Amino acid sequence: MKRVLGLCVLSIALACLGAAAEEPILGGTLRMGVVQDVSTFDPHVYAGAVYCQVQMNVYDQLIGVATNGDFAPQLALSWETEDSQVYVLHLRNGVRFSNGNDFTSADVVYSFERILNPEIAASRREAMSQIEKVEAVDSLTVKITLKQPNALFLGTLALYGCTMVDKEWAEAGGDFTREMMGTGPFMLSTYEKGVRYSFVRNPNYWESGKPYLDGYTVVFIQNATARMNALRNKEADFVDFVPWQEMSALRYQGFTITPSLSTAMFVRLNTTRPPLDNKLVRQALNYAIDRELLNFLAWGGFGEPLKAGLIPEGTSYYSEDLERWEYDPGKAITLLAEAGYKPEDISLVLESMDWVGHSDSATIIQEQLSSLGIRVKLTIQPIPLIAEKRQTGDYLMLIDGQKPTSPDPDFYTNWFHSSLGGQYAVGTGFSLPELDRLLEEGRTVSDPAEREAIYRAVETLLLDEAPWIFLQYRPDGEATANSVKGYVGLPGVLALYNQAYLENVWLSK
Amino acid sequence: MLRYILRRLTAGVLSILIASFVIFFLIHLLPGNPAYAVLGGLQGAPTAEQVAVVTKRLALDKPILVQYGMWLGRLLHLDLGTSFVQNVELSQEIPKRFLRTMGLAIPALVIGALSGVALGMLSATRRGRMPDLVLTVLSLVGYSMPSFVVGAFLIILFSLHLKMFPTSGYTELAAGLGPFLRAHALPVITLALAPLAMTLRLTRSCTLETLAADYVRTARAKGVRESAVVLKHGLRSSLTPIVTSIGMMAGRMLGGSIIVESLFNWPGLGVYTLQAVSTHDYPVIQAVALVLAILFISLNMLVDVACGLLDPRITYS
Repeated sequence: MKRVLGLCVLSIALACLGAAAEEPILGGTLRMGVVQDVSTFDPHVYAGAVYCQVQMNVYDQLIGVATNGDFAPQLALSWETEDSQVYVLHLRNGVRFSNGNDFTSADVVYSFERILNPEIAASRREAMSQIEKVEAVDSLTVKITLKQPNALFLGTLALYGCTMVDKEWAEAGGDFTREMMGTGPFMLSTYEKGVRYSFVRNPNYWESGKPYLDGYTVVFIQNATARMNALRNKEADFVDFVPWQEMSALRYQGFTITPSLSTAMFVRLNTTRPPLDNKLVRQALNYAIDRELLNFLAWGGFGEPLKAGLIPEGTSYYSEDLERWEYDPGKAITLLAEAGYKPEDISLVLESMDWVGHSDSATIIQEQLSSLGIRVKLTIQPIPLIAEKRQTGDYLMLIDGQKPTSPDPDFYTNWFHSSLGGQYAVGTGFSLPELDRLLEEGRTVSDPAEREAIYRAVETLLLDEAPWIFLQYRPDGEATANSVKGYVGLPGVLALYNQAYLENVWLSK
Repeated sequence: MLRYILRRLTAGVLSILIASFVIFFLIHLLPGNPAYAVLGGLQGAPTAEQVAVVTKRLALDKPILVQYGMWLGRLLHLDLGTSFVQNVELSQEIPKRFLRTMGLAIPALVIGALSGVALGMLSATRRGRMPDLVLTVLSLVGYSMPSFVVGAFLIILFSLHLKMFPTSGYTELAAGLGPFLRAHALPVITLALAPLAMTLRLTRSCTLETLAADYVRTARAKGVRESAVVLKHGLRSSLTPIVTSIGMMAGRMLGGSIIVESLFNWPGLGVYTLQAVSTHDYPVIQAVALVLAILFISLNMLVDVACGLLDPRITYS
């Protein structure tokens, strides 16, 4: 019932949108300038932010996200479950891959098999390991049985990496790492790794009338100045990762900025190493940081300082009464005294990668803690080492910026669950059995009021335990020329997918 | 003679082998597993499982001597390996990028050297007067200004304001001669400024020195035209130090090209190596270092043999 209602709302909204906006024009090639290349074309391996432009526009998933953040049908038209353990999905009819092969349930079964194959190193293998079996009921119906009930399973299917591929093409020897064969709006045309990719319209695309564009090109421009200049000089219609310093200037020059606050900045603390093994010390560190000043100095004031945990303000799971991180050096010193320390007794090592986005904030934090009397040594490390330390936990303090994996507060599991938290807890040995229990419970419950209560408890625990110094959401953004229409900024952490929907983009004259 | 050549050849091959050994082991001392870069670097959030699978796939879990052996084995088949992060065959990628860097370095050197010599002689023959003063100041500026400042200035003036050239990027010849040349213009000019300035100054001082010599005074007294005096007598003698210095500048072009490539988003060898170092892309760093080492060692070998042929006394050592 909720599903049908959702679809009605979606279609009415889309109709209104269509009536109010200008008429899309067919044709044209969108030129995009982006920072970093993907290391492989494999649709099941997320290997860089450009995955959204590349893989997500050539391939489709069963379920996607709509502009308001709800689920949107892609290759699955409808779905139902009775017990949150067995899911039945009804596939869209008449879908073909760009080589003409039909898309059927056999492809769905094969795609899940591929994701679960350890050799592929798929990004969603761990997430999909909760699947017991995937069966093709008939050519357009698939039944997925989980090992245990999970109310969030559909949300996981909508995350990147759950891509549908062509079984026939794969078994005939298709190389996923160097070639692409999907049901999506575009096809790969020519490419030179690290330089330029060209995509053209897929004539077999299932959504009639789309894509509007004849194609698009992706050019890699690592240097931020060169990238912004390309936009200014009309060599590119779209650029990503706009430095905050350029946002006002670009707006003034008439370009459209799509801002996003989807990357959280925080300092990881190793709770097994003294003096950070005492939670009072960790709380003290949180009160010793002036987040407003940090946001202003490092991000021009364009970011959003955190007042509590990572759940964004304005969302239904946010609790105002949990807000607490005011800049309070007095309280910090009191907490330290309770733990038995004077600020001068404490000597810390803060590690950061050698990119100004992190190292600037790290320097400011070092300064703020030093002003209290705490000695902080700042160590700058190369990027591959930081990527490794994220998992091995080999640090005392590490400043980091990562996106929550989903809009649902279940994203805390990825960091803080003692065995499922591969991005933080597993490496550093952080373990809170009560938190584990709450996070696991949150996955089995679907009633919104119950879930809000559960995640309220989660945040209460986390804020008290303070395994991190919670800093802020940092400003990122894309910039587009005025001729680019239909490019939508998705809300919150979904902004990651902004560039995955190029079938909605068109170029005005 | 034959024994001498064989000795030089053996020494050359041995040097290349030692170089490959040193390169390989030095690079593998870098901390940090390259598998993370393959899985998206900092933009990715790979699971420990993914990292383990990729580590195994890239043979990074094998003992280092075994990895070295595998690399050497591929080299003997003239296979430079496959980039970890880009998944491309380096035997094709590196020559392509090398040519693109040469596409900047060679024109820059030629333009810089030729104009430097011409302007240097002009400066010397008009010593103390306006052309000389202007050129001296310009050469000082061109010599001292860092290439990223010059490049940025050229982009602002000629690309953004006058819209005569693109702000960045490489255009293939297949897209047309016009766009190809326009894409090369600004990076080549930026790269050519330093050699131009140095050659100008050197030519100026050499020419001044030569023109003060006795035999030049004799030529003038004999009634030889001034242009012949300067070009035939003056230039000939000054040429030796100028050519030597151009040879040295050629070596510096490769290094200087990294900054220009980065600023103009030029997909050349310099910027490729830089990216490989920051992502710990071992095969690329190894291949580039080895190719340059082989080039250098081979050239040295050829020079040794040539010297041996010119002066047989060398071969007796």
